[in-house]
Amino acid sequence: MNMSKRRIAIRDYYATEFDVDTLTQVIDFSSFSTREFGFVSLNGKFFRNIAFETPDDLQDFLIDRCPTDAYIGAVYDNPPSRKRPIHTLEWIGHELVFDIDINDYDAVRKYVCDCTGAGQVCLRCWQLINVSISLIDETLRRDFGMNDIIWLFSGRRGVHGWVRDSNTFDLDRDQRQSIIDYLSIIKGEDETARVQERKQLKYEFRKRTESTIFRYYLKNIRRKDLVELGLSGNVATNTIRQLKHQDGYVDDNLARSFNLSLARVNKYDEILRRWAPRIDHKVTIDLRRLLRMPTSIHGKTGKVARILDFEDFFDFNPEDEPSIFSDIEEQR
Amino acid sequence: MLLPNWFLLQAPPNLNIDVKAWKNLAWNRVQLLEKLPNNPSQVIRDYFPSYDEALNQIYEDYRLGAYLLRLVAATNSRLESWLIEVEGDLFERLYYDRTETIDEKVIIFRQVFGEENVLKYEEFKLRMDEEKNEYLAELYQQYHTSRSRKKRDFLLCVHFSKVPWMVSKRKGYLRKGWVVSNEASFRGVLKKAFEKKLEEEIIKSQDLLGIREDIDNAVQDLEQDLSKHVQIRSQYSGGELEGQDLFLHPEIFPPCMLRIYFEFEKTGRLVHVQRLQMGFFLKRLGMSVNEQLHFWYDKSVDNVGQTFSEFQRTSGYQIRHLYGLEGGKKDYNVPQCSTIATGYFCPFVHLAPAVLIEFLKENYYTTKKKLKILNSHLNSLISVSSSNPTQACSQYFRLVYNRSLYRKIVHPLQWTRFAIKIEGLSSPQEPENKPKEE
Repeated sequence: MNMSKRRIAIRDYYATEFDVDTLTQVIDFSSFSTREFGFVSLNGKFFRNIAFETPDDLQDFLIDRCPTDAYIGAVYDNPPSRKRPIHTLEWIGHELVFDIDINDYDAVRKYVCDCTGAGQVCLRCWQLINVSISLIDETLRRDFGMNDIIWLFSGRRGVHGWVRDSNTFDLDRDQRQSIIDYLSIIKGEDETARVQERKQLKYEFRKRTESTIFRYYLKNIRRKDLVELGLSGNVATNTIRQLKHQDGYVDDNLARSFNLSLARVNKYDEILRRWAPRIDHKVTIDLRRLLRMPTSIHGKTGKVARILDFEDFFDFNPEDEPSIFSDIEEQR
Repeated sequence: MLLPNWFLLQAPPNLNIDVKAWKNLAWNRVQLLEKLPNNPSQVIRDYFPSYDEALNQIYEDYRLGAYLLRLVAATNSRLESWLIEVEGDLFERLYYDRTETIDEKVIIFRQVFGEENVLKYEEFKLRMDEEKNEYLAELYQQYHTSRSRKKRDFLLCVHFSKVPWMVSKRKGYLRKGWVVSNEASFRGVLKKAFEKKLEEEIIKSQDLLGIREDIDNAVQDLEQDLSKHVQIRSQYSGGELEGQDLFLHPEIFPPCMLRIYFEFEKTGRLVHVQRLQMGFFLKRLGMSVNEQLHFWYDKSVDNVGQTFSEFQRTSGYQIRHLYGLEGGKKDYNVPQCSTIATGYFCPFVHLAPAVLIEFLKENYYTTKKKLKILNSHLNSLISVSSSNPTQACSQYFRLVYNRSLYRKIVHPLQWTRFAIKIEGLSSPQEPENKPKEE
């Protein structure tokens, strides 16, 4: 792709469409000047340990330098700089963040859709991400008492969750890891990952997990899929009939009976293994890690890492997201 | 409601005390801590009788003694590890035996976890009023059965950030950020939290050092005496070298260990046998379990994304195993040179001649003259290296230190012991027992 055209496209985005107020909706504004930023320049060079006095300075920098990717890190006691890199500064805090990427589902995506390549993503496999968000969001609110959670499209193949509650800002690595452990129903990433025993999950969390996963699983299910899974013809027909009767809504009763049916054919673990949340835990627990800056451009796709509204979230299709590079591609 | 008088985290209000008497109080505390593992119930009965106002002075003396030990621990990391461990054990025992009422227990919880991070179940119920019905039904079922209605057991709520282990393991019920469980299930994390808090207090107490000369002298004396007196787990086994932090001086490492050390520094990775070799060696140089855990955690690249506590749980097992704290509880020694040559890593055996020459030249040699001498002996050194590595190693030692050896080097610690003598780091003794196990 022509570099100067990319530069113009990026500059135009940051000059006209980028809104610093939206950014400060996600990150804590009061500590802006001591926050670390990192960028990838047009020629692919990565640099970090940068801080800005005000959001406007950041915008000026983005317009001037036109970085292909912009990242945001933790807050320190002093503004990071090349002379004073972050490892010489005292870490003050970082929002609790979650990174869910469709790549982490590669081992199980084949059961959901036909996507194979690393870059591929479709509406069907995006449902795996939706299950994760739904479950994580509800668990964080109900079990952990967090209220201020924002979900963003990562710009390519995943989503980022930002928890802005002030009492999560200074959580240490162990505390963040404990949240990840609590949310993880499966241990391991591959197809044979171990699913936690039901008795290890407390009743309400288990009920929530099962009903969320079954809701998504049964959303577009056909009778033959259930038969293939090993359920008897009668059970499959009854499940489909009940789903139709309830307009696709999976209530507790349906979840319970489907659960029993799965247990009978020994497929309960199988469904959970395929659909359970897969969080990139390194992103959450690494306190000095840089994460894509909300409302910035993804350098490879040209798509904006924008905030997702929870209401229309479940119709979201990453393939439909506009790219600022689309005009350049068309000209080629 | 007042704090139970045995609880010692707070500093004593008044330090106007004769230093000699204060040191005696510290030694009394050491005696108490040493007696505890043998007969805990007896110690608690003898030293901590049930509350009586007349005993206030005794408890105040305990506090003073414990505080001086804390100051000493602030100057010596190994004593710090020891103190945290033994005070943690004492705390656990006292909490179990000497907190009579629920209110007293809640006070201790609040002191350790922070006032705002602990709720009684009744307070929690009030906060959850609007949605309690569905949720509390399960709690009721779980905890109000005859099985769990044990004497003195009650429900308690602690903020999730204070009990990450319980969150990870899903011990207790999480609701709106509170972990709800019976008091007994919090005991393990309470002890850990106490130890963490004590560690913080030890760091804080450093502020008192360097202000009063008499206190500084007392701390220094006590530190010297205690270092010899107390048993620190890493020192249980024989055959260590005595000296201040010898593991911080790679220049006294024998070639095998130095090569592994540099390799690890450079790449952040080692193969299994080399990790073992290095681990045994560092242990015998006096590195404590904790120091070694940090050493591997800080330098290894394979633990990216792993928290220290996760590392302790996984890789930490192997490290504790080296110290005889896990598995067969065998106190391993550093393998002898003959074993190293066959099953571990010896540069004279395992390095290609060109790489070996480069390695031998690069390290230990600081002057041109020494290098010239080495060059003249390189051929003979290389020629015996694979057939008789111990002879090559002894020859190399003589070249490096320009000293003749009265015996051949057959053990890595032998090199280090001789090197220490020459470098003047300390004057170690030959171990009474030769290494037996590998």
